[in-house]
Amino acid sequence: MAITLPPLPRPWRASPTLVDFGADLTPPLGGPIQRVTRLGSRFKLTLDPADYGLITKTYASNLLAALLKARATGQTVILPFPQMGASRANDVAPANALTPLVDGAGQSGTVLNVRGLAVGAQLLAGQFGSVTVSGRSYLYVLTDSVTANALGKAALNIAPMLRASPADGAAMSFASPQIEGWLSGMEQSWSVERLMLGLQVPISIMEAD
Amino acid sequence: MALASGLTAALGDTLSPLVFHAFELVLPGPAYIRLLDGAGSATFSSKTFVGRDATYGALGAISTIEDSLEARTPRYQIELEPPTTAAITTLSAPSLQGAQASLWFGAVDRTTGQVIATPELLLVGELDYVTAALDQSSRRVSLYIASAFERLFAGDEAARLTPAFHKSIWPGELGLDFVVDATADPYWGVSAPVTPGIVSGGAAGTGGFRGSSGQGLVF
Repeated sequence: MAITLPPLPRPWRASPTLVDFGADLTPPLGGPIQRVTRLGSRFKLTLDPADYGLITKTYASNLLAALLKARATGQTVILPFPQMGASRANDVAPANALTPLVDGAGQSGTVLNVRGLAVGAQLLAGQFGSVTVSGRSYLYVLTDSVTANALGKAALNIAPMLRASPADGAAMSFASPQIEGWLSGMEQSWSVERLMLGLQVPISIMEAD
Repeated sequence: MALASGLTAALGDTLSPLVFHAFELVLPGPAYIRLLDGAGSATFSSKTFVGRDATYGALGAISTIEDSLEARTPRYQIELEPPTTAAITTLSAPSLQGAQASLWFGAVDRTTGQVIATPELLLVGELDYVTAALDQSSRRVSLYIASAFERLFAGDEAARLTPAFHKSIWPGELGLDFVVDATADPYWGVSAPVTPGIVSGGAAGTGGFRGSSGQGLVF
């Protein structure tokens, strides 16, 4: 189970991070640097608490309650992930390209075959999409633009590598991508400023796997 | 043994290699704990390894495989992070001592997500003992794994030159029943009588008996 945080009011500022595992092997004598990577690259999202904008008392209470409930009940939280250009209608991929279905079970790697797109629909590089596997949402980004073929199918180049293989027919949402993970750290603090009528809650979540 | 050629090529590629360690512990049943050191899954030799086992959690650390002269066999240490106390209990069961543990090193193709060639089997050993450590921000179980050569160090401390022990190894062999000195009771924790009945030659000297060196055998 996961707790979906209430949608954040605009304006708000998010700092997404791609977390890689591995090491840069840097020889202290000046030899060439070698990079060794490991499995499990995934995303992290940090929200700037100073930039939630004006929020109502009800909203502040709900947001705080959701955060504390997630911790108290041991659940992950789900946040909408910022889509590039989401505020400019012309930049968003056409509606017929927003929710392709995974085409075939047991896929792995950085290529995901999908179906169910409108013929000729275009998905743009840099767009984020999330897909749910075994009740947990996984976030990926398109690394190359792709156009659906005559059957409405496409092979998406994604990053990072698939960590869990989605089921055949699972929907990949480019319309409202989301990130699911644990709230970072073992403490939850917030500050209330009476005069500014503001609530400042730092939120940082990282995908569990 | 050389690395599989595909694995060698992957490690020498100009792209950074995507590597993994895979750990398998065979529990009685048999049941298997098959874990990877990263999130994801990898399948080779009909075995599928995952980042997180629902019962036994994830790999916390893999120590260096070490060896030394004389009285040490190759050994290493694996740390698991089990989500439940029950898993710690299961792992700590005495019956698990000697369970087969294997460790592989391999690489993954980024595009297909498939394991490249055949991962290198680093060591097959057996579970020696387990410790658990709980702390404010960690719960870890350390599995100490030793090579099968460890068994060569097992001392024959229970070996006795008595008819009963003799027959426990060779059932029905009555040879010692008729050796007068061998029927004497062993003295536990005290010095032997002034005229000790140390058996020399005979059964002890002709081999076949596991305590034939006679060390510590005082009657």
